[in-house]
Amino acid sequence: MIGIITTKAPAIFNVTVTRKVHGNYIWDHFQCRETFVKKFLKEEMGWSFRRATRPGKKTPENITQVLTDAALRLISTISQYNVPIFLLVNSDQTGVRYSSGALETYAKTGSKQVEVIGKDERRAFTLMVGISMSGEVLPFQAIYAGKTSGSLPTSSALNYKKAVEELKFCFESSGNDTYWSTMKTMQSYVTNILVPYFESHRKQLNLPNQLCIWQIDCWSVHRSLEFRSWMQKHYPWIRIHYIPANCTGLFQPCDVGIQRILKLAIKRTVLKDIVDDTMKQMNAGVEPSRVVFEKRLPVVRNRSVGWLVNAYEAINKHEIVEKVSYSLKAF
Amino acid sequence: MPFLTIFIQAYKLCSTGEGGLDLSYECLTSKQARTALTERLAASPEFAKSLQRPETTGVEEEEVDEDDPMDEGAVLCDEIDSSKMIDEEVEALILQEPTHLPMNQVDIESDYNDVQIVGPHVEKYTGCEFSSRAATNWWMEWDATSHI
Repeated sequence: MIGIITTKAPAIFNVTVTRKVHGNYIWDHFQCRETFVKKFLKEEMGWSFRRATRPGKKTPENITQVLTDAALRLISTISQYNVPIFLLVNSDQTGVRYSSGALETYAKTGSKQVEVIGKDERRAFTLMVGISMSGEVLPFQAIYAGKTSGSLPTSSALNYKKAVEELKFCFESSGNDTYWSTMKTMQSYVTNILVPYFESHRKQLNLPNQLCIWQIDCWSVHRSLEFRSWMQKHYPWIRIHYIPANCTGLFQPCDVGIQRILKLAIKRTVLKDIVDDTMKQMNAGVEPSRVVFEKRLPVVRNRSVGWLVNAYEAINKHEIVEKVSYSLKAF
Repeated sequence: MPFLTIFIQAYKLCSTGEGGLDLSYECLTSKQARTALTERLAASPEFAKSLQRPETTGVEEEEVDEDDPMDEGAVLCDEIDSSKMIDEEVEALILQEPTHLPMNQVDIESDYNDVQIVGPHVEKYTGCEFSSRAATNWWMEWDATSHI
């Protein structure tokens, strides 16, 4: 819709509106927000928003006790081993789909069966994100479905050099047909991202034997005996703390605070690619109803490098944080 | 200093609820935290014993879905309004307070940043309250005339 308005009716973006944000009115130009698109499709087309159903997570009944015990475990390790703030890391993996809208679609209001185009494609990759308690983000690890390096983004992808050389991102194939993290990719994450981070800070702090804490969720590979034994054998100085099962939305820092911003940044970059594609086609004379979105795997996979670089920079942008801190002081 | 507020805030928002503990370093190293640990150890020898072994506390529910364990992740791309600016989302995160509710009353799915479009200058195109129909009509008129 942004592509169509930009091509056919750009003056709409100059309409002045006021928007209510956190109870305050601000002057702004009209923006083609998703709320607008939803209302447009509902009122003009009679379409309502549908999503593939998914059950909510069931949190434990004694959740307060479960979370308190998890916090007390951390308190115990931190105080027993005098763990500095730099040496506590939370890592979390999340799926990123190449095309947004894979779980939702619009359908004529009242229709019973809704086919969600793209739901079965399973075209996605896994993103492993880590943040330290001191406020640093670790390099990303991205895992792509496939058995060889041919399944990975190529060096010709936009921002590839920056991603690999400057930001130290790791792009890995899963070794099978899924994009899920495996024992091998977890071991690689530990060896190539987590350990270098801890080692560098232990060196800076002049604490070469300091115990470090790694917080992860109870996913089967994480809590498997094989993985724990491997960690114990190679890195006994990293103490794993598990987020209680089904509490990640409440007690996993990456989930609670970072993934949403990260995914917004990714989605905005994806959207830019879609708008660019749409406008290119419309400027070439293609009718709006015949616009086709780019779905070729090698192309979107290469584009994912740019999405990740943008997302990493979005959450690392000091100016944003300073701006927000400044506006908070003004209150 | 490389410390960024959003990451520290992410730890702070992980709360046990009801004025309890959170995962910020400040809280975990506080006197209140050490007191809570001492009390718990005294009250439960079993908990004290459990500190000596790795605790895996259950299995993530999403693993029941063998087709795609990522489907049940806490945040899906599709749930996010891509028209929001990054700094809006960051500001919402920074302004968010750790919950003081009992944890069984917390709605994990709730959206904390609802933005509405209202105002007098919208009238010309959208009516006094936001109406996409009016905006669309205007656009269609404009579009029709631009093609004459």
